[in-house]
Amino acid sequence: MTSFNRRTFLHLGAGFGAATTVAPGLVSSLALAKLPTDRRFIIILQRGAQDGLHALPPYGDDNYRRLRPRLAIPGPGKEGGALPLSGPFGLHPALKTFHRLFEEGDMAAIPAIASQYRERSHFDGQNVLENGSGKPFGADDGWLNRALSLMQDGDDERLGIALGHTVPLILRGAAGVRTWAPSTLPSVDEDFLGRLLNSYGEDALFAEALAESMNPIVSDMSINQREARAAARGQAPVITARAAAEALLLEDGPRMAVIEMGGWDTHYGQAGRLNSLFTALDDTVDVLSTDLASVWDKCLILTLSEFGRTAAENGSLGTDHGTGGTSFLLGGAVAGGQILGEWPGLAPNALYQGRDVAPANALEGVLKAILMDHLGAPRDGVNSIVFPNSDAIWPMMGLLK
Amino acid sequence: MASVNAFIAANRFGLGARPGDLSTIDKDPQHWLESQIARGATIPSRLKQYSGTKQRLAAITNARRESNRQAGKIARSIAMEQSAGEIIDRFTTRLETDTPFTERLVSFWANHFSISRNKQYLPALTPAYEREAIRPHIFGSFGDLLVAAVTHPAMLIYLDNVQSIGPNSFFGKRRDRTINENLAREVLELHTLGVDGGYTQEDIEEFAKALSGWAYAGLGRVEDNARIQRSFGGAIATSVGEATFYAPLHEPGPKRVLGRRYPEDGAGETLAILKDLAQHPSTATFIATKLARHFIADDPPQTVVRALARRYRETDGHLASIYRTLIGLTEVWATPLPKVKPPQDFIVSGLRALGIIRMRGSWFRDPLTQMGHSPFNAPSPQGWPDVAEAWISPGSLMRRVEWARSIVDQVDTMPNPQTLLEDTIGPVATKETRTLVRGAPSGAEAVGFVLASIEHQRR
Repeated sequence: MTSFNRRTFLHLGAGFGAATTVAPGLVSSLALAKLPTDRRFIIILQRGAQDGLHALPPYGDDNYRRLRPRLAIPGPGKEGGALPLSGPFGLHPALKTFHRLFEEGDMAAIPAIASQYRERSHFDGQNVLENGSGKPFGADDGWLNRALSLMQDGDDERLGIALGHTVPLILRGAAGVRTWAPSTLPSVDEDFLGRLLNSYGEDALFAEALAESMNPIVSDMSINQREARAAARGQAPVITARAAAEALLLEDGPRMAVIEMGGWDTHYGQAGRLNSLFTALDDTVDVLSTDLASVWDKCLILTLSEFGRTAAENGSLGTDHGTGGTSFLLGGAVAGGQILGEWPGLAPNALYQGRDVAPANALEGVLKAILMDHLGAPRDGVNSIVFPNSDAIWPMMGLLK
Repeated sequence: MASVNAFIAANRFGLGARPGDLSTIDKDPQHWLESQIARGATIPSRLKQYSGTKQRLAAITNARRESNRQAGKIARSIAMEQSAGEIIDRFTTRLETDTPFTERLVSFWANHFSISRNKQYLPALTPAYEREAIRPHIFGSFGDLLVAAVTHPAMLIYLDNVQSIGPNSFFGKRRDRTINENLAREVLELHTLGVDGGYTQEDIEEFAKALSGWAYAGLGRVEDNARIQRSFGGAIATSVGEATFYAPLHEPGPKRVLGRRYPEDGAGETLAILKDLAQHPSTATFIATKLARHFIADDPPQTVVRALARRYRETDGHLASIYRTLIGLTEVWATPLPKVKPPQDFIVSGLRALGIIRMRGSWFRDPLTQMGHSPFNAPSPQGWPDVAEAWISPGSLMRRVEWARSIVDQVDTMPNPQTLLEDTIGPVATKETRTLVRGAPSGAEAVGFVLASIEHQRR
């Protein structure tokens, strides 16, 4: 019986010829080409609609306590109290790394952020968040893939990496991307793979794919089967973050990575669940900031969710689908230590449709600024190809150091 | 040794050969397919034990009277007790079936009318949808299949029609609710005419108005509200197949779709529009292209597409007639290995090769997730892709090889590798593959080499 060894592969090399004969360490220098950017961009996609007011509680706002008599996070210094940022805002107490980075000037928060989508379906909301056209199913590919196609030179230069078994829509499209895939299947020895590869002969599709997968440039990560299974289902962001960091550190490796996290749809009893989720999110950022220390000044991590949740708590100690949410920007490239954008407040007449945090800050404006000013993507292309139908939205100013 | 044509029939049109299959098929490969068409649609006996959509939705909507949370709980328990079992039995059916071409057609059409379990309540409804809306209609007229799929509650939920309310309907005038165009758009783009099939945004909007009102029984407690009963005056909910049509949600007035006027006729409007869409020449070409891509080549020859489209138009979309034309085309029998098996068929054909007739969860659940082909989990309404590049990436190929190498250790049977080779890929096995299998260090590795070979991964 084959033992359940865990091997995880980063599929990085592109050339079939080099793959079987060259020692892994050499491949990167052989294939080394000048990449269009040395900046790193990591998206943490929070599926299910994160409650922005629970992540970034405006504890100093009386309306917040009025709307959330049972769920409001107390002010700093009280038991379970917020970690202070600036103005009325604090952080959920589990977001300790976020807080440290804020104090070090490497974290900024954007409240009341929303894409152009104004309905409340997860399905459509995530579709808009990822397709970038402003409409559900308005494009078949993802905005980040379209941005890659503006930046990369042919298929050998794959700047994006999908971490998981399916490429999320945000990264799907014409531009080639890399993939990282943990396996729970019994591993196969090199002899078997080598013999099999020989027999694949003229079938380029199979031969190249097998050669590439036999050549993991990044070392095997020692994760157990339970962790691998969790990572395979998108439920182990910390493991995924370790793999992402390993790939992003390679000289000719990917520059953009997407990490997915589910479970944010907190209609019921959200305090406990969000405490676990924020702890996992904080651990994820902690791993990234530790592992990426040598390139930290070139890094920007962005948290994204399809929309926010209702300003008021509901009858079951949770919150329902809303509009304006909260995003965080973290990394050495971020003009941190500040709350960015407009804050419409939570007064009754300030709420969107009388119930949600108003969509005061356009998500597409934040993304445009990151693509243009952090990654150096061409401005015309970002405005016309990456985010069509968004001429009215200007890149947000002041995000970067 | 069996002929290449037997291999093509068993793989291109089937789910791979079990021990002995090739010699049976070899007597007359085309007739072997023809006889499956002649047998028509049946519900496999092991799928008959599972409950219907109406019953499941009744349990969910009843629970919703208590709370949404309770409804979610009931939906999850149905998914665990019914759907999970049906997914395994569906695989077992594919392992034991003598009509694998029929099973391939079920998968093809379920993917054409793709729904996904990634939405509320759908994990409780997905295999039932395939059994109720797809399976009975795969040999009949495309128009009937279209109606069954588009008006099934699972599709109405998946593409948001249950949230679509005509602004001038009884309810629309009382609440600030609008039409949702998703279903109308996807029916035109993905199910009938195709993206370049010649429709406009206005056609989508008008068709969406006609579709407003289609939902499922128990929606929002409309039926048992006495006040609504009194003030609406008329039948509120009409049961049509698995679905329910709600007149108070339906946008009133005539609709104009693709230049044709449809007078106000409630649920009848949708049926009339779908009938016309099924007869549209763009639909004939679109369906012909998809069938040709599935059974012949990723980029199928235009001659084949034209021949199938012509047959579609001649027969008003009679599917059995189109399949007969398909299996009679010389192009079908020309090259043995143009297509790559998608992961589900790769796993099914591997187990069939080993003579396994009962599926186990551990043989497919994690492997299919990691090969990117988890059942009823297609990434978009477009369904799973149908070209080789989509399935063979370095990661997914390594998972296939790992599966091929390890499955023989898990199934508790050890075939003679040489016999296995002859019984499955014998007619097309290359010298390299034969040398590889003959020279394997162990029997288990030899079996792994057969299952991981190009000849077994393609069809």
